[in-house]
Parts: sequence; structure tokens; C-alpha cells
Amino acid sequence: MRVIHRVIFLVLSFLIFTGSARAQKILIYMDLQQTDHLKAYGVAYWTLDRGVNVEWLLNYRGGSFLMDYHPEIERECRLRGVAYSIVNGNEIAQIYATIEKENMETVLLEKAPAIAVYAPPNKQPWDDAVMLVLNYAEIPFTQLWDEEVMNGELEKYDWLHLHHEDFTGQYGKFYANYRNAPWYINEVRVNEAMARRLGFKKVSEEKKMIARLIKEYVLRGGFLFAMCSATDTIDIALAAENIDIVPEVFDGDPIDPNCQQKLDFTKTFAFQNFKLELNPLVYEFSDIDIPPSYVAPLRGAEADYFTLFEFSAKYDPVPTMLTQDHVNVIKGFMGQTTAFRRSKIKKSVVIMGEVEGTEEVKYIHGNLGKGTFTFLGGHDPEDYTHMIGDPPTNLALHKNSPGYRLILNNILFPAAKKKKLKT
Amino acid sequence: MSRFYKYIFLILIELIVSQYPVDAQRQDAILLNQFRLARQYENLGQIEKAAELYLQLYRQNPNSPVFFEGLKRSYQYLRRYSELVEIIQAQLQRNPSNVRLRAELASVYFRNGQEKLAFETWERILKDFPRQPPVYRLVANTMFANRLYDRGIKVYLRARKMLGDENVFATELARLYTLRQSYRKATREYLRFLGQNPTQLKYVERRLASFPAESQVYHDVISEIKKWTHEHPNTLVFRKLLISYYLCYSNYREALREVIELERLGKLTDSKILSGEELFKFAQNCYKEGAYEFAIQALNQILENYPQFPRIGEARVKLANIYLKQNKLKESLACFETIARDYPETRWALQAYLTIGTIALEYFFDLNRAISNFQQVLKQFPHHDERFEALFKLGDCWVAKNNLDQAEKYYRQALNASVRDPKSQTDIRDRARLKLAELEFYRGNFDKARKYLEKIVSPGGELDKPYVNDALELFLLINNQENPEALRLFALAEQRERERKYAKAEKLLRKIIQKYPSTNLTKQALFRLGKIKELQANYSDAISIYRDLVTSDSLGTLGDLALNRIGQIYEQRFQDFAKAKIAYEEVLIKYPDSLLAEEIRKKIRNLEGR
Repeated sequence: MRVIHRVIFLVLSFLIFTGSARAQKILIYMDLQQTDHLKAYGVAYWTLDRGVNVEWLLNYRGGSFLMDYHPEIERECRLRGVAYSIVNGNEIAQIYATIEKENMETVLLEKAPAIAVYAPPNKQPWDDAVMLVLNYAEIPFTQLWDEEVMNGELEKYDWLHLHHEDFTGQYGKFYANYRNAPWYINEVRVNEAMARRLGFKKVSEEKKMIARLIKEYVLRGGFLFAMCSATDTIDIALAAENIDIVPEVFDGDPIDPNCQQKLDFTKTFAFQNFKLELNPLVYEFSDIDIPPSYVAPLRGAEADYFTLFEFSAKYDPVPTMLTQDHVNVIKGFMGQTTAFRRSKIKKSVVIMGEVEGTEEVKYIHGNLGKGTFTFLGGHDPEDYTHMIGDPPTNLALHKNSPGYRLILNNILFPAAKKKKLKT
Repeated sequence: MSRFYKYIFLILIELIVSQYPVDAQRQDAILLNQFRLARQYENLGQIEKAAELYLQLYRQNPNSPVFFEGLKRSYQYLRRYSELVEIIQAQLQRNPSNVRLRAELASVYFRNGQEKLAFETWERILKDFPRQPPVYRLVANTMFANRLYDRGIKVYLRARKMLGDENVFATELARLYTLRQSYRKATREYLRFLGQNPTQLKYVERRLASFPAESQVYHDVISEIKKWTHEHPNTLVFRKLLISYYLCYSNYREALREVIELERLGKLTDSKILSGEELFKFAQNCYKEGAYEFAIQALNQILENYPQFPRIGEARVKLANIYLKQNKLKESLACFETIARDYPETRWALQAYLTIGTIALEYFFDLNRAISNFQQVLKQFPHHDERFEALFKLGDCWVAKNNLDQAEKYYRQALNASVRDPKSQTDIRDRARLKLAELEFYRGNFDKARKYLEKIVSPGGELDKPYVNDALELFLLINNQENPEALRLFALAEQRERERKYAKAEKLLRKIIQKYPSTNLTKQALFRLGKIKELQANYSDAISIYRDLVTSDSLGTLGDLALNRIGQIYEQRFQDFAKAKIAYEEVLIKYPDSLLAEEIRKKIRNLEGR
């Protein structure tokens, strides 16, 4: 009998041992101990792309990722310089227990989203922060432009990013300072050629059509992320359907004298009751942007910060996902559209980041139809004032950028399985 | 009495007449205020109100160009085209020969949707003034303002026919063609302009450089320039443009061919042109861009075909430096020797001696040749700053010859001269101290060596200089060594290595490993042994030694270096990328915090083609 007991004991021990070994997972923590936050998102994406689910542990150690152990994933972490730990069954149980007790939640990411970036094919003298970080994090994306949008190719993608585009057809309102610059002339040339090819007499009309198609894409379930001037110009373009708001220097004919009164704010994503800036010599589209681009910055980089709201992870998982970060006060950064004037934001829009005590709202999110949109003010989270011709930000020097994490949160968000909200 | 009434009448008349200017002045003031108010409304964007005021003013003063312009602007803005047409027509009735107004009228017709009428109006203007260039420009510009680029182009082309001048409006057409993305035609116009204005080469280069960087555009532009170059071989400026465009797109081969032809033609057409100048400029461009092969070809062309070129000395030095950059040491040596011989006591000769000496020492290990060249530096340039470099190198030569006393003589000379010379920099003194410390180290005088090193590594010193790391390393090696005998053997091994007596160095290092297995010097000896095996091109042995080190130094500081060396041997010597990757990955696994981690990640990515 003793022998049998011994055998049973050994067999059970073996099973327990191998069982707990099999229960091992990789935890990619995202708090201040992480060596490369941005590449960590890339590893999560890479893992999803290979059919392995990833759990996003909202608010747990800065929004960590948990996935089943595979030696390839471990190798990839090492290769990319992403810090991780291997956790066993007990530790996993403890993590879940902590999540249950605290303002934390587990979101299952199931599918690597197909990502599209709307950007013109011609090289522009500024850099797109989203493309920079996607390249750095090694997350693949497709670049498309007007022709692809018109051909209905947006349907192939889960997530669409817009950056520094001008959907009003005023070429970014760089007219005053750059109208003779070769890049600007080329920009006009390329846009006019595209408008003609697509059957439009004016660039502004063509861009408005693009804006409408993008809106329809969101209505049907697409995820939209926009930064900088793409945020307000898309709304201006939507509100100005069938109204000429573009001065003569851009399209050869004067604006509609009553254009301001004719704007239809019911058609926009996020903004309302804004006043257009109609002077072509002013580097501003409307009063949505705050502070205005033509006013010298008062605060300076050292004193410019915005705060992320803390949401309930269990009841508001979506904004919680979008605000995952290892800090909640983030350095500010300017852009053609730096932040959004609070009074111009629709009530239905969720404010996720703001400069406390001011009219400046930095980060917003909303639903439209079956899809969602997220707008982030500013051009480059690690370049306070990115000027024309400045070199691109080297993200290897900003591996732990809290600002860039906000962009990457948006990329993973479409991968999340929709969970029934707790009641 | 009648005279009295006559005077009263005259006075009355005078009063009435004198009243008129006062009213007129008051009237002018009212007009001015109204005008100012209208401008204010315009500035504030209240164009409707501005228009009303301008209309009143215009009706009162239809001849005033200022009021007319103001009213015209307002109507334009408000798109009240019918009223705009009326006032322009009214103006034209007063001044029918005003061509600008006629063109503007056509523009208004166009914006009002009356395209046929617009085109007819423009056409009539051109027919009325068939030989007036400004009229063509005016009409084309108004078409351009209405985005009628193609029609604008046709106007200019028509002007050429009518004026009988193929070259007129070249830049205007170039601009329009550029807007229409017809780059070949735009180039043609720029060439036409350049042919008439050869001093405008830079302007045309800039215009062409602003075209999009696409292969079809490049092809179109190049074909057009080549065609013109071929048709006008004696117009050198076309060829210069072709060369500059080739260089823009790094097509050095074609550019060189054209430069050679340019030199040949230049000589034929104008004997005052400096022969060789174009080749030299081309060589400089190529050098800057790293296109060394083409720079070499261009410079050799100068040396062979243009011996009278005034800057031939510079060309030779450039050639020698390029050979050096490309590691073509024999060719570089030959060039520098010629330079030293032909240009004695010049800065070129100085550079030549130093370079020859360094190549002889470091690459060919020809110590006598090295010494003789460094001696020339001291002889010909006794007060030049570069003499310190020669002194250090001479010392290094004598160390390599195993004559430490002679080496010390030169190092000490450097140290004393730098102490005496108030202009000399601290790093010369510190480098001399480091060299002297090394000598004492080889001699086994570790305390003396330490004294020299302390002066370099003390706090407050210039610790950001590159030699400070070497000084720190030696300082720590001496300080942390418990076994002086082992250290002495290690020093001797290093000295033999500098003498390139690798077999002897190996023997000494193996002695340390066998005799003193538990000292911290053992691992250093092992690492050094691996490097010696590499120098002997015995890579398999080197790998084996590094492996032993990794096994024995799992917690130390040399394991990651050793694995990195293994990876490099597999990658660069054996071209075995799979094994190289394994070695590099081992660094990341075993030494995740290694200083080499980032560099090794890049290497792995390169090997994976990422």
C-alpha cells in the first residue's frame, strides 16, 4: 500500500507541477518599470496577429498586458527590449483578485485590427506622429488617400487615423508664409490634380466629400482617431456642406458671404457653434482651437501639462482603455490645433484629458452610429512646437512617452471584445 | 448813389463766390469720412454696409478710381456679379481703351457663369491688341486667376506666334506647365529662358529642384535637358544644368561623362576658362556625398589631362585622402609620398608625413618607415601643433620595437613641451602621462604608473576626453590586482601584443590562466587571448576561448563582450548569420542589462532583414 501511495503522490505532484507550468503567462507590465512602453504595444499587437489573445489589464500596473506563455513571445520581448515577467498560476490568481477588488478591469483583445492611415503620397515637411509611433512599435498599417477612400476601401480597415490634414481645402492655411515654398506649390498641385481626377472642380468640394465618406465609415462601425488640424477641419468640412467657406486665393472664387450663419453643426462629430476664421492670411481655421495659433504661447513647454481623467474601469471600460498610462499628468504639446475650446464641444462627447481650470480640452472621445471617434489636440507629444522642416522625433529617445501611449491605446482599442457592461 | 449800389453788388457777388470753396471743402470732408467708414466696414468684414457706402460715393464721383475699386471689391466679395458687370461697363463707356477693365469684365462674366461671353471678351481684347506683350500677360493672368490654366497657356503660345518670338513668356509658361504637372514642357520653357539668360543657371536649377522627386518626372526632365544639350552643344550652360540635375539624383556616372565633355568643350570655346575646374568641383561634390569612386575618376582625369590646373596640389591631397577613406592604403601611400616630395614644408607635406607614418605603423607595421616620416615632421615643422602627434607616434614606434627607454624620451619630450607651452591643451599633457604610465606598467613599476594615472583620473579633471577611459581602465587594473606577479605577466603580454609578437603574448597569457586561475586577472587574460587569436586569424580558437570565458564569467563584466565577439566572428568572418544571431540572442538572454543590448538588438534586426 505504501508503494501505491507513493506512486499516487508522485503522479499527483507531477500533474500539479506540469499543470502550474502550463498555467504560466507572460506579464508585460506598463508601469514605471517598463523599459519600452511603446514597443510593448507592438508586442501586444504582434501577439494578437499570431492568433494569441491578449488580456489588457486596465489600471493594473499602468495598463499591463497578459498573454499565454510562448517562447516566441518571450523572444520577441527580448528582441524589442520590452520588459516582462513570467507569472505562474498563483501569481495570476493574485492579479485577478486585485483587479476584482480595485478600480481595474480585464479586457480581452482578440484580433489585431487592420489599420489605415489617411495621408497624401507626397512627402510633407512635417512628420506624422501616428505613423512615427506605428513604425517604431512595428505595427503594420496601410497608407491611403482620397482615391482609395472614394473607392470604398475604408471598409477593409478597423481603424482609421487622420493627422495633419485639412479637410476644408485650404492647404493647411500655410498661404501667408509658405505660398511660394516648393512643398506648398507641390501640395496645391497634387491636390488639384486629385480633385480633377475624382471629378471635382475644387479641392474644397472634394475634401468635403472625403470628410463625409469618413463620417459614413464611422457610422457603419469604424474607429476614427484624429490629431492636430484633422480634428477641427473635418468637423468644419462637415458643417459646411454646400457652403463655400474657402477664400478666393485657394479656389478662385470668393466665399459665401453668409457662410457663418449657414453652418450646420448637427453634421459634425464633436464641435458646435464655432466661428470660422475666413482670413486666408491667418493660420487658424476657427475658434475651436485654443490657444489660437497666431498668439504667442504664454505658458511654455516647462509649464504646459494636461491631466487625464480617471474613469471607472468596470463601468466605463472604453475611456479607461483610451486613457491607460503610467502617469496621469502629461506634458503638453502644441500643434496647428493644440487643444479644443470647451464651449465648442458637444455635450455628448466624453472629455478624457484637459488643462485643469482652463477652457483647454486636450483629449476627447465620442460615439457616432456604430463607430467611435477620438480626437487628440497637438502635433507631436514629444516635440513641443514642431515647425515646418524640423527633423522627425526619434522615438528611441522617448520609449516611455506617456503622450505617445495615448495614441497607441487607440490602436488596440478596436481589438477589444465588446463586454456587457456591469449594471 | 449808383456807384454805391455798384459797390454793394460787387461785395455781394464776392460773398457768394467766396462761400463756394467752403462748401466744397465741407463736401470733400464728408466724402473722406464716408470713404473711411466704408474702409472700416470692409476691414471688419461688414461688406454689405461697405458696399452701400461705396455705391453712394461712386454715384457722387463716378470718375474716382478709389471709390470704383472699393465698390468693385465689395461686389466681388458679395458675388453680386450682375451689378459688378454694370459698373464695369459704365466705366468702360467712359474709358473704352482700358484693357485691364475689359479683362476684369471677362473674369466677372466667367464667375457669373457666362463662360461663352467671358471667352469672347478675352478673345476680342487679344484681337484688338495683337502685338502688345503686356496685353497677353494681362489676359493670361486673369485666366490664371480663374484656374483656366490651359487657356492661359494657349494665350502665351498665341503671343509667340503673333510676336514672332519663340522665347517670349518662357518663365510664365514654365510656371503654368508646372501647375499642370507637364514637367517636360516646363523644363523646355526653363531651358528656353536659360538659353537667353545664361547667368540664371541657379534660378533654373532651383525651379527644377522644386519638381516632385518621382522617377517619371526625372525621366522627363533629363530627356528634355539632354535633347537641348545635344541640339546646342556649344551652349555650355545647358550641359552645366544637366550635370547639376544628374548630381541632384546621385547619377554620378552620367554626370562625370558630361563634366569631361564640358571640360573639352570649354577649352574649345573659351581658352580663358580654367581647365580642370569643373572636374575639381565635381570631385568635391562626389567626395561630400560619399561617391568616392567617381571623385577618384574625376581627380585622376585632372592629374592626367590638366597638369597645369592651378589647384593640382589640392587635387592630389584630395585623391590621397579618398584612397585612405576607402582603405586603399598602397595607393594612398603612393599619393602622399609624391605630395611630400613635391610640396616640402607645406601643410600638405605635414599631413602626408603623418599619414604615411600612421599607415606604416598601424597597417604595415613598417616601423623604420614610420619613424622616418614622423622624424620629418619634427624636422620640418618643429613648432607646429601637430608635432605632439608625431612625438606620441614615435614613442609608440619604439614601444613596438621593444625599446621603452627611447619611447620614454619622446613621451617625455611631449609632456615637457606641453607644460612649457602656454597655448597647449591639457589633453596633450594627459595623453603624455597616460603613455608614460603604460611604459611604467610594462616595466612592472606599478606605483609609478599609478602616480601618472592619478593625475589624469582625479576629480576635477577633464573626464570627458576619450583617453580617460583607457587611463581609468589601467588605473583600476593596477589597483584591483592582488597578485603583482600575475599583473606583471599581464603587462608583459600586452607589451608583446603591441610588438605584434602574438605567440609570446599568448604564452604569457596562458601562464596567467594556468598559474593564477582564481585571480580576477584570469578572465581578462582569457578575453585578451581571444582577441589575440582573432588577430592571428585563428577564429575557431577565438570562439572556443570566448566560450570558456562565458562559462566561467556568468556574473562578470566580460561575458557579454565575449558573446558579442563570437557573434561578430560568425557574422563577419564566417558569414554564418544563423550562429551569429544565436550568439547575439544569448547576450540578451544572459545579460539583459548589458550596455551592448541596444546595439545587439540592432544587429539582430539587421540579420533578420527588419
